[in-house]
Amino acid sequence: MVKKTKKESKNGPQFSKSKFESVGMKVPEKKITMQELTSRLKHKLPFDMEKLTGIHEVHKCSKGEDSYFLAVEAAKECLRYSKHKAKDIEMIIVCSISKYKGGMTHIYEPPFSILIKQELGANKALTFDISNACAGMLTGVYLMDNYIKNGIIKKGMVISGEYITTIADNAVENVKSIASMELASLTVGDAGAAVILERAEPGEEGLMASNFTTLAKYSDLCIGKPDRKRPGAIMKARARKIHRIAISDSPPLLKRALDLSGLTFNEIDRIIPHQTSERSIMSGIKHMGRLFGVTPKNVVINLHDFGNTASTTHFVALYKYLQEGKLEKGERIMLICYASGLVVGVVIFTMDDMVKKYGSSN
Amino acid sequence: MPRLMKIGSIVLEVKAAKDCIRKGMIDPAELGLLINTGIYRDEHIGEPAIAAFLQRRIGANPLFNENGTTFAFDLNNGGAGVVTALGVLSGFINTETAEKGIIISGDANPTPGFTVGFEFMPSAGAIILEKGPEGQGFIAFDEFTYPEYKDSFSSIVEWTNLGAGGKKRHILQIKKKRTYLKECLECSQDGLKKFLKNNHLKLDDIDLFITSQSPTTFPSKLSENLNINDRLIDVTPKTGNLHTSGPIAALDQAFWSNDFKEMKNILILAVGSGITVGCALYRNP
Repeated sequence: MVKKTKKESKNGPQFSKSKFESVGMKVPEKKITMQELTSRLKHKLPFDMEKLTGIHEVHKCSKGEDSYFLAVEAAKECLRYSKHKAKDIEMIIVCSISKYKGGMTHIYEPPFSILIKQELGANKALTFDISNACAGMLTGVYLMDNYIKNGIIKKGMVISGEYITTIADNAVENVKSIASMELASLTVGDAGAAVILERAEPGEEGLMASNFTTLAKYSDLCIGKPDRKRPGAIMKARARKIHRIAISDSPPLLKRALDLSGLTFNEIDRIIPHQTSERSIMSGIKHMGRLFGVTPKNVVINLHDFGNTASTTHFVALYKYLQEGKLEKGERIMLICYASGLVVGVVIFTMDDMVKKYGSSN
Repeated sequence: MPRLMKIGSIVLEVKAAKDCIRKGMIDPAELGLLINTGIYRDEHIGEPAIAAFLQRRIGANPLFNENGTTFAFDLNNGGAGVVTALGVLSGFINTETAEKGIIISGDANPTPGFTVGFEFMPSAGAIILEKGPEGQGFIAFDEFTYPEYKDSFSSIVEWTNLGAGGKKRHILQIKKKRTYLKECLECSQDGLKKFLKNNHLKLDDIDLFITSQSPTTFPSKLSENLNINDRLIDVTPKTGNLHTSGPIAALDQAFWSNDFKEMKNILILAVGSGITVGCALYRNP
C-alpha cells in the first residue's frame, strides 16, 4: 500500500521534504580540445568556435568506456561521499539519453537501471529508466522527490551516464557554416553524474521547489537519433530558435518556481543553468535579470573544461563546485534546464552540511 | 505513388491517447502529466522524449497556459513500465502536483526490414488517472526484480551487417532465451505472492487479474498455473503478442464491461525484461 507520511494541518496535507545528500561525477581521462575537433571539420568555419561557445576542451570516452561505465563510476563516487551503502538505496532512476554499453551498443532492454542496480549491489532498490533529453537528471530528481514526499522511499539515487561525443564525431562530416543544424553537436562532452536524495529531517534544509513544463509546440526543434551513415548518433537542432524561445517563454515558468519556493529572484544566491554555450547562457541570464529587475549574483559556467554533457550538466557543475569549495551552507541555488521537447525545468534548493564533505569555503 | 501505409509507434500512441481522452470526456488541457512507457519507437529517436511529440499531437497545453501546463517524459521499465508509471502518476496526484495525467504506451517495429527478433504486434494504449476518494482507486504498488535473469531477454541497437557482408546499418536485435516464458511465470508468481502477503490479501480476494500480454502465452499459462482462468483477462487470441501496452489492452477490455464496478479488488501485474514484476492494486468501492 502507498504509505503516506502526510500530516493533515490547517493548510492541507504536509508532505516530507527531500534534500541532496551526496553528489558524484565521473569523466573519461581522455580530452579533446575544441581546436582539435574543429580542425577535423571537412568545411572550415569562418569563426572561432572556442570563443563562440566558451568551450576549450571536453572529455571523451576511450575504449572500454561508455554510458554504462560513466554511470556506474559516478554512482560509486556518489556513494563514497554518502553515509549510505549501496544495499540501503531504495530506488535507482537512470536518466541517460545515450545508453551505450560494451562500446557503442545501445541497450533498450533490460533497463539500464536494473543492470546498474546489480553492479552496485543495491539489491533492494526499486528501479526504472526515464528519458527526457538534457532535462533527464532533473526530471529524475523531480520524480524521486515526489516518491519521498509520498513516504514511499526515504533515500534513492538518480544516475546518468552520457557517451555523446559520437554526435560530435558525426557532425564533423556535415557542419559547413554557423547555420548548420549540427553545430551544437560540436559542443558536447562525455560525463557521468549521480546524486543521492534523502528525506530531510524536520528543520533541515533541502529542496524548496521544483517545477517542470514541456512546451511541446517546439518538440521538433532538436532531434537526436542513430546516424544512418555511420555508427553512433546525430543530433539536428535549431539552436538559435531554441534559445529565443527559452528566453521568451520561460519567465512565467521561472516565476512559478520562485512563487512555489516563497523566494524572490533576488534571494537566489547562485544559478546553475544547463550548459550550452557561454554567450547564450549570459544573454539568457541578462534577460532574466532585466525581467526580474535584479542582476543574478552568481552564475555557474563550467563549459571551458566539460562542454555540454547533456543530462548530467547540473550535477557535474555541482560536484566540481563542491570539490573546489566554492559553495557555502545556506546558499539558495537554482538549477535550470532547457532541453529538447522543449522542457523548461527549475529546481530550487538550499545547500546544507553537504558542503562539509567536499570542502567548503567557510 | 501510393505505398503501403507505415505503422509507427507515434501514430498508434496518438490514436490511443485521443481515443482515451474522448471516452473520458475531458479536455487535453486538463492533463498535467504525460508519461510515455513505449520502448520501440519511430527511427529509434533518442531525444526529445517521445512523450513531447505525443503531448503536441493531442493538444495538451503545447504552450504555457496560465490555467495549467503539461509536463511530459518517457519512462522505460521494460514490460513493467505501465505499472511503474501508474505509481509515478498516482504519487503526483496524491501530492496534488497534477489533478489528472495520462500514461500512453505503444510499440511498433522502428525500422521494418532492419530488425531481428521483433515479435510484438504494433499496438498502443492509454490510461487517464484522476484524484479519487480516499481508500479507492490505486491503493498499493510494488515492484520485484530478478536480475539473475537479466540476460533472458535483451534488445540492442548495433551498427552491423549481421556478419552477412555488405552495408552496415543500425539494426535492432532482440534476443529471447527459450527459458524466458518459464522465468517470467516463476518471477510473476513469486512477486504476486509477496505483494499479496504485504497487503494482507489472498489470491481468492482478487476479483480480476489484468496482466502483461507477452511473452507469448504468458496470460494463459499464468491463469493455468494459478487456477484463475475465469478471473484473468487474456486478449492475445484477438490481438496477438503485445509488448508494453499489453496491460492497458486487458484493462480496456475489462473497464468497459458491466462487471468492472462490481469487482472489489483488481490486480494489475506486469512483467518484463530484467526480470521486473510490477504489481498494482485497484480497489472499487
